[in-house]
Amino acid sequence: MPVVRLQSVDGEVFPVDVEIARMSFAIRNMLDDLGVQDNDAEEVIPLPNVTGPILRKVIEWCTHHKDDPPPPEEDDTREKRTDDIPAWDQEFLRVDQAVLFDIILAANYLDIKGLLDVTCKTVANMIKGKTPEEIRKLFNIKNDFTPAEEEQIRKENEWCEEK
Amino acid sequence: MCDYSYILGLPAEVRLLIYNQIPQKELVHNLRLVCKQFRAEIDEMCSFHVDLDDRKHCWERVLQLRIRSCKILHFLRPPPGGPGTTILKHPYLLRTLKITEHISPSNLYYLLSDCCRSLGELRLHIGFNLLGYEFPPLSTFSFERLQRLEIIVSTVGSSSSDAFPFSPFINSAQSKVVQGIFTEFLLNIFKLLSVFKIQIRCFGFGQVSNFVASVLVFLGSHSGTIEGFDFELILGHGLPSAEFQPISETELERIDFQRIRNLRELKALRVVSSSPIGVNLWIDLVTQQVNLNFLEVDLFPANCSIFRDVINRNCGSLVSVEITDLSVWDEEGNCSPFDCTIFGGCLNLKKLILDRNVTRRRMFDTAELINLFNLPSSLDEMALNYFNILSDELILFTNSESGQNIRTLYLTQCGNSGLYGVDGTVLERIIELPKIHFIEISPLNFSDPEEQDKLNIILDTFGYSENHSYFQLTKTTHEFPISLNVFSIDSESDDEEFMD
Repeated sequence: MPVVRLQSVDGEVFPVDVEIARMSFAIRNMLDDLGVQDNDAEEVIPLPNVTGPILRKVIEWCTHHKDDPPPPEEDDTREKRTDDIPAWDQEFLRVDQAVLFDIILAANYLDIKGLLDVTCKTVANMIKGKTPEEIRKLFNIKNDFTPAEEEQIRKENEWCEEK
Repeated sequence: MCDYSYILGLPAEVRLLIYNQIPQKELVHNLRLVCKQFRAEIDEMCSFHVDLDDRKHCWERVLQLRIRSCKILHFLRPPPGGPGTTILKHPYLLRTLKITEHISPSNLYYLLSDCCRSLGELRLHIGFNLLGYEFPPLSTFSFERLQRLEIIVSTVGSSSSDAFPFSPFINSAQSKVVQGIFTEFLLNIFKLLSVFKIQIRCFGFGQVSNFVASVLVFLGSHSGTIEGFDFELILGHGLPSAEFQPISETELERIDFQRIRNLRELKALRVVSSSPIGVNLWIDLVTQQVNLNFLEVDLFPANCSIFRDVINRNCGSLVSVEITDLSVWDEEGNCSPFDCTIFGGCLNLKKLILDRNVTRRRMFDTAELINLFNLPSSLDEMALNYFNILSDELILFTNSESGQNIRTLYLTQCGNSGLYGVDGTVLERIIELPKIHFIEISPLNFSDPEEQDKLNIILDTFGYSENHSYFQLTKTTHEFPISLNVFSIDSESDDEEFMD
């Protein structure tokens, strides 16, 4: 199996099967731009936005999902679901908030749609069912509204009936 | 504790992906109140489904939102900027519009003018909700991206919740107005129209002729793009019994039949008409199809022979067939049983529903549906209603490949005496089919004492009373082979699910 070497911002180098590395559209484009074919081994791809520990996690996720079918196209009409995260992914993403958000940033930078989807769903699940104050506390967000502004927003929200 | 907020450190477009996974109510009532950044992003990036009702005090706010999908419940007041001004702040975002109740002519006109280029789906009720106003021309819109058009038009009162729950009876002058709006609206061109769904509730020969002709003219002018057509005609109450007759000659002249004949490759076709007026036009449309996946026909009453050719011609593509009001008896009292062999070549058929026309009295010693064992093995769901079926025929079916694969089976009024219908032996076989998941049978045949005993043992097993004529079961485990103890009496909610 041909291999590429991915280099993290802190200099760590990870040999990865080309097939797995190409799950990242960003890496795929780099390989194509460099004219690297599947049988060119040992090419080093620098990834200046991803640290070694996070890149290791991303490679682990891609390796586990290498045989997945391509994710479906976006469809506005389809019901949004967040209760369909596979058990392996749930366990994989049972990490500190800092790590979870670094994986999201890496998935976004590397353009790995499946990983970005599942991490965003995980964060959405953390938010669901929580009050504004609970969400602020969960994510270290400062309430920058005055009481009058909060009252105004509540009025604006009346179009959307609460059950 | 770290003061850094990781979620605020994400790029805004990634936060949008997270917002998009949150239900709309939580997004509005909880996330908008978290901080100014969240509120600004939700207002600027998220789109919403809204019900617009100008009797509610916050309706103007709704018009400012980024609306993806809108249902108009009541919209008679002018927009905040005054009549004729822009109604929605972001009309180009609107993909789905449902106008089901009262809307003023200018609001309808300007809403459609602003949104027609972006709309993907439009549902429009034309009836009492549009009466009493002077309408500007409604035939001037350019629907560039609309793929699904659904119209419900009514000139009669209805108690049906899916039509016009508010609709009182309207007089003949008002009916003319409704017909006029409908005909004019169908003059618009929908460049990408793929699915056209129309339900008509009307009264009398003149109205049926007018509506049917307008629909056929529209079909002809969109024959290049339409893949799915769903037509339902419901006659108002109090009609004299109608006879088979074509639509009026004046209306016939409007139709370009060559264009209609081009409409041969529909993937989905549903034609349900309670009026025999113009029925041959619909039969022609059904029989000329060559590439159907889905076929549902309820024509009054449809002779079996009509369907032999169309089933044959579409056997490679058909996935679902529902034929209602099938007539197996001729005027002289001769029966031509419906022969299921015609489905033998439909190798992709998953669902089959056949209903016999019940206006004609049945002869109890005649089989009306035969050769069930020739049905394709792909069949997953089958409902047979009002046909006299020999018990032996049903046993053959249970032994066949299709019987061995069937998961859902409804048998209604298939005989309850003599050699017909579901007796004890047949029910035992059905219950033991390897893949069966749901069974509904009514009534059972208790006429033979031995079979009656068998039936009562089965009924008792599942908690039914002795000689109970109705039987329904749902499989509750996925073990194979099935034995009696893996069934339980079905609940009402499961029933609804299966009926869907």
